[in-house]
Amino acid sequence: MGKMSATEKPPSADIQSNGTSTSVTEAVNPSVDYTKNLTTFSCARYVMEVCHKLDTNVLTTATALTYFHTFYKNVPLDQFDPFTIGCTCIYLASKVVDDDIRIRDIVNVGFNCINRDSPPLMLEHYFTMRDSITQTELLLMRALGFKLKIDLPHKYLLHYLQSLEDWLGRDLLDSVPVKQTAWSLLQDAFHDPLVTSCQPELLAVTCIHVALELYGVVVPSEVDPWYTVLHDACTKDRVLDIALKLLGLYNEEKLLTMFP
Amino acid sequence: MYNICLFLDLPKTKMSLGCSGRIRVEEKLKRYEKIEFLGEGQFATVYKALDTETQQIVAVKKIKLGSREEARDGINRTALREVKLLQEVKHPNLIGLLDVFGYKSDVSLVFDFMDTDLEVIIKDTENISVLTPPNIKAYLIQTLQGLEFLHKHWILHRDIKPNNLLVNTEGVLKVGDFGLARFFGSPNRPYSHQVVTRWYRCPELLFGARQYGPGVDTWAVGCILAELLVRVPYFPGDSDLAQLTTIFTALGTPTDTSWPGMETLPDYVAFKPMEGSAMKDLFPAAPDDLIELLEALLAINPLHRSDCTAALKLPYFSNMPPPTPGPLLPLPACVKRQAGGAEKEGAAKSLKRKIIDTTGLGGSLAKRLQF
Repeated sequence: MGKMSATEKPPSADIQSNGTSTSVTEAVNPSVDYTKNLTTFSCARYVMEVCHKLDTNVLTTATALTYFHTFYKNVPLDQFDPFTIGCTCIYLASKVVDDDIRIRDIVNVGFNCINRDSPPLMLEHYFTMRDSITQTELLLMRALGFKLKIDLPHKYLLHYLQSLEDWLGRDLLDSVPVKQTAWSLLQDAFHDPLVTSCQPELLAVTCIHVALELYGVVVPSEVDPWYTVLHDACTKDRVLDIALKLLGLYNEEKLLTMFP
Repeated sequence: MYNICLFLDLPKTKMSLGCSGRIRVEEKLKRYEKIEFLGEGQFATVYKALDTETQQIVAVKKIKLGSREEARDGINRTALREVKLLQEVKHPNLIGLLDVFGYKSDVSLVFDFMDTDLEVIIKDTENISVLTPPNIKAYLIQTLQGLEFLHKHWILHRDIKPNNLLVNTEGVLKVGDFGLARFFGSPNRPYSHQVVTRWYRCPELLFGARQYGPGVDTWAVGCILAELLVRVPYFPGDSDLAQLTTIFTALGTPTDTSWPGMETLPDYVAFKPMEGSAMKDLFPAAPDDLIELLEALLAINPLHRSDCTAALKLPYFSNMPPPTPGPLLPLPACVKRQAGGAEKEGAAKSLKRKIIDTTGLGGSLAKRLQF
């Protein structure tokens, strides 16, 4: 999948399993049987995987996952099939973001990520699923209160990184992959329901903060910590709180792949 | 077990939409009391209704999900665009989206109620024999202010025509129908050129441009201004090529110097060089400041065309006479009679161009977008 950031790769990434050779991506992101451990994290990761395989726009992925977490904020995970809801979120998000993803592809990829080695869908089965998605779409829209446009943190991240680059100088920021890491962290954050409650500015700042800490980059600043200048919401306590939640996600990922 | 079992083991179970008790739709249904049926379009039916909470008259647009083909794709993108964009923008000259609700398998949008539109006003020559210069100025200011706000928020309307400029009995004009609107400014996204009803489509769209800007809307405003003056559509072409011929016959064929780069547009065809006429000769009765505005809006080269902000700063809008105050603007016969108590729906309908009239002329064709 390649969605979890590079820093969290296990060191022996290219080992062989079961005596057969597997690709590096397979070893880093072994395929998960999502039906076996139904948690918010695993379901969100399912949505991520489907999005990744459909090669959706990052904004579509982020919007879809925000819908997903908003939907399950008030509803227990086992009340509605999370995989149908997940696929519907992707479909609705692709329409809202004007990202042209065909429903046919969502159904097929969505099905295949659950039933990994099964043959392609038969016609009748396919149309039943397709109808389910279009009907669930109405339910989803109502559950979202028709608030379809999401204020995503991506644009804030880019603006803050731009300011940081102007402040620290291009050479320093190019010498370490801070920007790439912050971007990956942000995308990974969408595994967690915090994206529905956390202000987009705060989330963007936290991702940059964590990325800078990982590479030991210190931002010289008269105010302490430096990021408080960017937005009122970004207090030291809040950023640390969100940072801990973000890093906690990587433990959840380990748990998920430990018992495939 | 799950309410919707699909990817697990019960693929045939259909979900029931009545299950979510938290969303109190029944209350919403009671809130809006249907008064009368207003019209039916390609994607929706519109009702006039009373909002029992605010005692305000509203228009409820029920999105059709009926036909088999439509249902297969879920909620159509047109309705989704309206919801998405109108929730973001609020301006006195843009139609207000007051509420959205879903019931069973329908989605309904609640809008400000508007009594008539500019197409009815233009066509009602019997009742409104003259649209005075102050009248025209009042309509134009409101249209441009609404559009200026949209463009400042990086939204293109892409379907400006008299039919979509809605007017109420207070004389307030609001831009409506955001079914084709979208954000612009991303350089890497090609757009469809099959937008805007043909008569109001600008030359770059007719030449198949995939990247364009606010000029597509301001050209349409120029066409509407001309239509307000002469009371018939000013460039009524019956095919894309005829449309270009009509435009170039009136305004002259653009040249390499007046519009550099036009040959590179995807559907470019060379036209016979035509002289065209000066705007002053096309509209002999129009005063100079109005001619200046027409020239600014109907510039063939999109780079020379004024944007709304610049157009609003032209002398025309600050010169005498001042625009007519809203309540004094003329109203078509059907609306007047309704205000008097007697309701005649027939009159309103007969004044509208029938859908059949426009199908052959790009009216409905333009709505079908592929991204």
